Amino acid sequence: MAAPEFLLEGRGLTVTYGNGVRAVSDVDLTVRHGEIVGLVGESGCGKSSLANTVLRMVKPQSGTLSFNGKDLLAMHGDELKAVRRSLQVVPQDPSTSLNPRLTIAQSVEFNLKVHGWGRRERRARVMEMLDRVGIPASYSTRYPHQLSGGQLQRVAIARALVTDPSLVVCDEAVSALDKSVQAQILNLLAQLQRDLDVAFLFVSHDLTVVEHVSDRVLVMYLGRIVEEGPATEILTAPRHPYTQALLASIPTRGQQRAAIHGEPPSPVNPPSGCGFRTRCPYAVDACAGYDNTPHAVGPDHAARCVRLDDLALTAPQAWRNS
Amino acid sequence: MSTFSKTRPPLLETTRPTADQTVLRVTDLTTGFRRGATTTEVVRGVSFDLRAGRTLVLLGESGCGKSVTARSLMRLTPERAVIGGSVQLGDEELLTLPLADVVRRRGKRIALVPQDPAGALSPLRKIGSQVSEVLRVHGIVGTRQERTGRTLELLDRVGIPDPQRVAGSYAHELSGGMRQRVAIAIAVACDPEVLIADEPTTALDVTVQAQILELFQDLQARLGMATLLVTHDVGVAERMADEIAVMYAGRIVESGLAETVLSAPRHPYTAALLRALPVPGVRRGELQPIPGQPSAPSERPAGCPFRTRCDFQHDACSEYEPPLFVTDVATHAACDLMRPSQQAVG
Ligand SMILES: Nc1ncnc2c1ncn2[C@@H]1O[C@H](COP(=O)(O)OP(=O)(O)OP(=O)(O)O)[C@@H](O)[C@H]1O
Ligand SMILES: Nc1ncnc2c1ncn2[C@@H]1O[C@H](COP(=O)(O)OP(=O)(O)OP(=O)(O)O)[C@@H](O)[C@H]1O
Ligand SMILES: [Mg+2]
Ligand SMILES: [Mg+2]
Repeated sequence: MAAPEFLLEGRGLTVTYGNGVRAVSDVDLTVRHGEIVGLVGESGCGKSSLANTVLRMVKPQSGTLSFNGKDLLAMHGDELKAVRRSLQVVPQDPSTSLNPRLTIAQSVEFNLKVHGWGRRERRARVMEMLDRVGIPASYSTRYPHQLSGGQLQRVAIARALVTDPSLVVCDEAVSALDKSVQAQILNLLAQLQRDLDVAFLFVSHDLTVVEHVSDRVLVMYLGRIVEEGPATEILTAPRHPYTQALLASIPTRGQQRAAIHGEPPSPVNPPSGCGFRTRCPYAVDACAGYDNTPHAVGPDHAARCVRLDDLALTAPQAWRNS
Repeated sequence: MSTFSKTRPPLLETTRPTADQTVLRVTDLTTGFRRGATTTEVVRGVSFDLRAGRTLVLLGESGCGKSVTARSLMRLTPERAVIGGSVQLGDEELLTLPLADVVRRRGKRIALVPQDPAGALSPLRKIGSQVSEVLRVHGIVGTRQERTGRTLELLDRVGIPDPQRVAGSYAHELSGGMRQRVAIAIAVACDPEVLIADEPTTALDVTVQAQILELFQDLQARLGMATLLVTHDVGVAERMADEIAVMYAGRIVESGLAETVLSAPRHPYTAALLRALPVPGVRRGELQPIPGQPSAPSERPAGCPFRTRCDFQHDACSEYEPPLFVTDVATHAACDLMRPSQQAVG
């Protein structure tokens, strides 16, 4: 049987929490083998909720999800365990996800043990992986509270990569790191992708981080993907006003600007039509009635905006000057 | 945008220090961790002053000792830690004060935004009650109703779009960035004299980050709050810092006025740190991390700890660990190249 086109394929995913928050709305998410997909958006827009859905930690109300051609949402028991070996996570808060009673080497090793690696091989793999993420061997017998924030983050990365996964979901995996270590880790991820053909779903609120590693970028706003496309296109020719605003708000040295005004609407009570219209400088009446169907704007590049055609030429300048 | 009144009078009728007055003086702070018979020092002789209404930014690579410094000031280190030196808050020595008295000052006179907000919030109590608890403990706001009002104000002020819902939520029901904002709200709840903020905006996008930094600046201007801001983000440092101290391997290796340190770094480590910044447009694999790793505290080379990664390494570097020399631009740098006789030659 030929390998399916997508390693991960989610369609129409929707997550609503018990408190009425609709964190993910009708999201399509695909990751190809060995591809790095960036997921970017403001704090609270639903990135972790979507990531956790892929990891089977949050149950979607509707939608389908398959991993390597198999229905991920229907899996349980041994089958799910086997998939977890190739579907790993670097969680947003490593300090609460690492067992405080295990040394860091034990934590990393434990992940191999659950997945059936032999004792001898385990040890060597653990030390190699810790070394690759820049944790000195002398730290391996330490407990999580004895490490700095950035060191913990790197342990979490080592723990995820040690089982030789085919997809790693990285939720803000580098935002706690200083820029130098961040650069090392981003370069490392890019190298692992080339060497081992690992695919990544790379979640971050920081577009500068996402742009450095991703092949393809998804831009999320209030639970929806408002634009997706090849990383270079998203960065050089963004089409959705929200993506343009995100780009304009990247601080450059000597300048820090926030181009998006106002606050995001409550996810309990989102606006009708386009979710961004309450903060969008181009909003018109039609936006309230928009049914959120995506419009293709290029090969593999789509955006959800009713004004794509008439905004195409003017938009970037307008943001720069505002 | 915010309904929080900017003209609200200070909560406490204590006398506030006048601008620029030193509020917290740290002298020769040294923190080590015992492991069996040996003690490894991870903070080594750190000195700085925090001034009313001013921000000192502490910059440095992961693991260099920023958080241990921050926690030592508040005596929040584990039992095995050995702290030496002096930390003076006003006329009190925090390192020798009975711990119970230090605890009483925490949150009220000196407050911390911890690096790990998830670990700092209780999983069992609603967010609103955790914020109002701080107000109650310090006897800040009278009635329960006033506390609830102030709690919602605080959540609004840190940029939480939905204060009502968030107050009624548990920590696990919030996004990572929301948890970080709650930790900030708790820290500033009682208008502290000194705020120690350890990487307070790592989970926040630029828009919310800007709002938090504005909040800090407002508290500084209005109440003369003195701030130690630990960050690895040079953009944040540029915006906030009056002074900068760069830390490497447990020591301050460069310090001075922010503009000068950023535009004319004199320690090769500071220069390398500034070069490692991602610049929009640079593609993957092309970032310039500082080559090599900082050595573990127990395996530091003799002499200058940065020399093994330094482009300017020369014989003298292995002979002694340079103290902070005054540089040609009136900053301080712990590099042999800044030794007065060297400067005259070079
Ligand atoms: N278990 C939960 N129960 C109820 N609401 C939740 C739960 N988890 C998340 N939420 C809500 O869902 C929304 C999206 O949260 P999510 O964690 O997915 O955001 P995010 O994009 O990852 O943000 P951040 O960048 O701050 O981590 C938020 O409003 C949050 O409060
Ligand atoms: N409780 C502890 N016991 C032993 N060593 C510790 C302990 N806490 C921290 N350390 C070590 O002290 C050094 C400094 O840690 P610290 O947390 O201050 O780093 P940091 O500068 O804040 O780094 P980051 O940017 O990654 O948060 C690290 O090498 C760390 O492993
Ligand atoms: Mg998140
Ligand atoms: Mg730290």
